[in-house]
Amino acid sequence: MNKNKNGIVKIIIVVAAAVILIGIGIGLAYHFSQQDQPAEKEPEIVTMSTLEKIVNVSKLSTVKFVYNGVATVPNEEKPEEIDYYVSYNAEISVGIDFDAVYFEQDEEAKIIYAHMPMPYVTNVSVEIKSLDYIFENDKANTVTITQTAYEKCVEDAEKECKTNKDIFKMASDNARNAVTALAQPIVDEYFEGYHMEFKGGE
Amino acid sequence: MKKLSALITAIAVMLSCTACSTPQETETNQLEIVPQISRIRSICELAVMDCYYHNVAKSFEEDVEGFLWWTKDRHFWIEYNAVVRYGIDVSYVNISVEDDTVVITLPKARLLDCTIDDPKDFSYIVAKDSAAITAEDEKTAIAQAQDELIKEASGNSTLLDQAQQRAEELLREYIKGINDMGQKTYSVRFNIIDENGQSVQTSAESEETSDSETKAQS
Repeated sequence: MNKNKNGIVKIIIVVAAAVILIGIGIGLAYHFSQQDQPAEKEPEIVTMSTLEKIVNVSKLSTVKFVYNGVATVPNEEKPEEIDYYVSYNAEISVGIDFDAVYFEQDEEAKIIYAHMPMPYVTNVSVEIKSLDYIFENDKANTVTITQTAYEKCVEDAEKECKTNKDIFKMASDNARNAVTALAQPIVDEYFEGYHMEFKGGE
Repeated sequence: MKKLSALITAIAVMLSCTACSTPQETETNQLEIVPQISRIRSICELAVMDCYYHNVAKSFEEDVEGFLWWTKDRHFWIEYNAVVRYGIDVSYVNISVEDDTVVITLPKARLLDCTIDDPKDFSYIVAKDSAAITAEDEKTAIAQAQDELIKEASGNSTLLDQAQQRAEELLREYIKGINDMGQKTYSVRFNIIDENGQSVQTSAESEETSDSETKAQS
């Protein structure tokens, strides 16, 4: 009877030890397998705001253009007569607020619209040493000419910036290309059957 | 007793194997987006930068007309518009993925195209005492303007740097997007090559972490 009891106790001890060992084994295996794995990220739910976050790249917000122009300087007393023409080299910076770009999803037509902001001139810089002249009135060639001519060149470049549609069109096209480059991979991956179209910004 | 011990050992071994196989299954189920060369190339194509270029071509020739001491110079300027295109030659773009690092081989940005507006849109400024300007003079001046524009635009380091940075920035953002959406976190290294395919610059490795991760780290 005692022998039977001892046998049962031994079996219980062996089973308990085995269960503990198995538990430790599973625990260690799980622990080491987790160490090899990078921490799992939460799956991203792709929405229009995800696209907006992706295109918000401030480093792309400014483009520079070359504007080497000619300003016409009239005579102060007789404005219908020209004193001289002055050529200058200028650089025009045009900005686009990428953080103002927003997306709209048309589920029926399967189109994602990217709404673009208008480009705007952020800076006009005229290189003073680049000034060169053609005189109509030789008396206008005085010691104070550089200052006056420089002011006229800045005025001319700024006026050109306000009226020249090509500058804005090109800045806008470049921005659209950048937005396509940034958003298209996500649209292709997560919005099956959709295509992108642009609105605004011109 | 021996049978019982053998049975327990067998169960233990079986359970251990099951425990080890679980992560592998998880691994295959993970969403893994890998950087693709076709995508990298199309980004480089979209990274091209069209620049409005307004320029003045100047023509000056001394003593082209006259008799004895009475001479005339030919002096005029032509104001014109052009569009210059800067970008990366995509045929040289390549990628390799080494562990978690994406190495992007990228040629230096260069002038890809240069188009001058129709000559009928040019404006001319002729000096008051200039010798007469003939059609031939205009033609020569326009050809000279085109040559000068190409020379000037190909050497414009501000615009070339801008085009290079634009391409690199868009590619960085692409990898950052992959890191945000996928399970792997890649870092990026640029291998810049010259026109002979020789490496001229290798950028430091940078990890394109998502905004949320950056915030969490800080």
